[in-house]
Amino acid sequence: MSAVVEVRDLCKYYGEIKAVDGISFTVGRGEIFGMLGPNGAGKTTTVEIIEGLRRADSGQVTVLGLDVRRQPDAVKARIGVQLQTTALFPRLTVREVLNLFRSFFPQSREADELIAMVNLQEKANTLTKELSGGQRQRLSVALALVNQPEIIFLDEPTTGLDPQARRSLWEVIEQVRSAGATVFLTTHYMEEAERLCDRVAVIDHGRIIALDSPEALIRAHFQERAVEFEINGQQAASFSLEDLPAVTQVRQDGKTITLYTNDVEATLAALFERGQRTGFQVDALHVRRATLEDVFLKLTGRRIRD
Amino acid sequence: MRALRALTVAAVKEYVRDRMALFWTLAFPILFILIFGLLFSDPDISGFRVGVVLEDPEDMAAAGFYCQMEAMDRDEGGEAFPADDRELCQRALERAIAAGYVSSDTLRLRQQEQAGSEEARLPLYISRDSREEVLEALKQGDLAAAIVFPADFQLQMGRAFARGDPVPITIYYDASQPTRAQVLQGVLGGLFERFDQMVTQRPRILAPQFQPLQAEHLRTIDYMVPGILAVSLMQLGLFAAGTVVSLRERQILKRLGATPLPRSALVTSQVLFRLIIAVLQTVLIIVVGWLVFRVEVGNRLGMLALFVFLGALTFIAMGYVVAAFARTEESSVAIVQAIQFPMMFLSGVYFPIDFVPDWMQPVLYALPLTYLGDALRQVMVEASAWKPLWLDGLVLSAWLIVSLAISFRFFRWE
Repeated sequence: MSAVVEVRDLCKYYGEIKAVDGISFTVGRGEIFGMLGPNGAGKTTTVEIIEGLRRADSGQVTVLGLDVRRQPDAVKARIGVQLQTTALFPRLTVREVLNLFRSFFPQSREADELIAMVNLQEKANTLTKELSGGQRQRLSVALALVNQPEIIFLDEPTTGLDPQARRSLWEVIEQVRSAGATVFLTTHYMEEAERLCDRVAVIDHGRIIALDSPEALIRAHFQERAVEFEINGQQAASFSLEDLPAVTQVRQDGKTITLYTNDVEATLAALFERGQRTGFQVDALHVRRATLEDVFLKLTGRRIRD
Repeated sequence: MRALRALTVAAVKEYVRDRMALFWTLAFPILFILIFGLLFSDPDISGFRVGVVLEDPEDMAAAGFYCQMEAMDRDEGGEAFPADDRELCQRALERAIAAGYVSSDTLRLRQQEQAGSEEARLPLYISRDSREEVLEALKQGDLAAAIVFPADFQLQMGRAFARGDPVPITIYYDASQPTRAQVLQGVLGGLFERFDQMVTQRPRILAPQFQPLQAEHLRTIDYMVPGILAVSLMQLGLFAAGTVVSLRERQILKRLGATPLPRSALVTSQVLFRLIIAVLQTVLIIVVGWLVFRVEVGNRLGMLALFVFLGALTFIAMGYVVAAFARTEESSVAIVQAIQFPMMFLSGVYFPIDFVPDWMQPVLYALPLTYLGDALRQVMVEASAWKPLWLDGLVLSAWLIVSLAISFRFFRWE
């Protein structure tokens, strides 16, 4: 079995709070594996246990065939971990930081190779504190790759980045996978999980509530499409829209109403007809496929991002 | 080891590219020296105060020499002859002329010569007192030298005339200022040569013998330069806390634990880096002190290096004690300020320890900076010791060991 990471019945408690409550999964070689969930779901704690930074209360974690608890140093030598290094050495250049980290390992990739892998060629001689947010994240990915690890761990890599920077980083992550490494990332961006990950573990309150490829997850829970809109005119709360044709579910989030429907045309026709009849107007209409956010919402009753 | 070297080099690069850090650790102490040096500069002693001891005031020869020196001093525009000196000199002169040692014409001629010529400008201030008073004044640093004419000087002079051996004259001088002492020896030696020729027209019957006497003579700036160095080392060490706490606060220390880099390597590289900066500060402060204020640092460089390193390490360890207990960078800075400001002013580094009132003495004894300042002062400018060097070293080492023990016990990486 070419499992790069094997986690079995992992538990971590902080007093009464169950940060990680019996998690099990495996990560295959060459995968991009994601843990998706809201803040405080237990993603970071899980990752830290796998990296060897925290001790689990019970359960087993194997990385590249090594028991993390018993051989932490061997594990550390072969994994790549994302660090906020700009804070550590703000006045070193990109190249200098990479060379510094290379000195920590007996064998490492060349600095230029690393710079090329993350598309930072133009900034190779720039001080790290002068990098933009997206460039810093790319640098931290490069640092995780210094020791040619078989798997790298990225903890919420695109948090705080603008869309363009985010997309650049996604490209880098895909390049990393093409170069042969396995990627384990945590995120609370549904789009990121959908776009990047081969498989996603949806996690909430320390438990995995779903684990599959994004498409499979969506298909399993939603045949339907989602129709989103806002209502002007009469109080939206006084409406009951479940009886509209083909509607399977109705959700309301402030002013926005989401109808899950098997037949978009039928539902829309009925919606507008009712609007004309009862005197409300539909505004900001948006029809889309279901997403992982919808899956999460369905499974937990909450949004991923509050 | 490669990692340690790389980390230390990285820390130095960071420092060199950080203008604020450079200012506070290098430019600031130098500014301090310059400002304090200018504010508290002692009056310029352009002349040398020389005391003369006449063990027998009636000894004609001795009195004669003294009066001659006085005359030269007065010629330079000094105050009028004190009354009893005038009498003394008058009597001595009469007797010298009567005995044929000096012809009145020659004397007047010489005086006129010297009054007119450039090279006669002796920068001497002469005064006459008892032996105890004169030597005491020398020890206090009020005099640069003391000439002692023994009671039987005239007799010795007579013998010297007859036999040709020069008469030894003891001149005590303040050895704590080597440059000044050299000039003084030159001036007084020249003076006696001139007397020689004046009196006898024969080369040498006087042989001044110079005796060094250690005097406590520190200018304010001499006292301050080691103090400024001590304070710089203290700040260098204590502020190490801020970096570590900031890294811990941002979880970077924790995450570094996921790399094979031993976290101790990071701390060690910080310590090494700070020691390098300590050496840099020391060299810079000494050079500036010398260039601008002629503060002479003795040649006990080995001892100096020892105390610089010991002091730096002690305060770095204390910095890590602060880091062990401070949760945020802000609080660590606040704690360090609360420690270092009182220590700066209560440790006798900016003013002599003797000036500290009695009720504050216990505070002095409690503060490590006091001992470092004392050690550096002794080693750098030969100040009188408050405590012996070995005791200074011992106390600092004790602080170092205790601080290390506390940090090891309480420091957390997260």
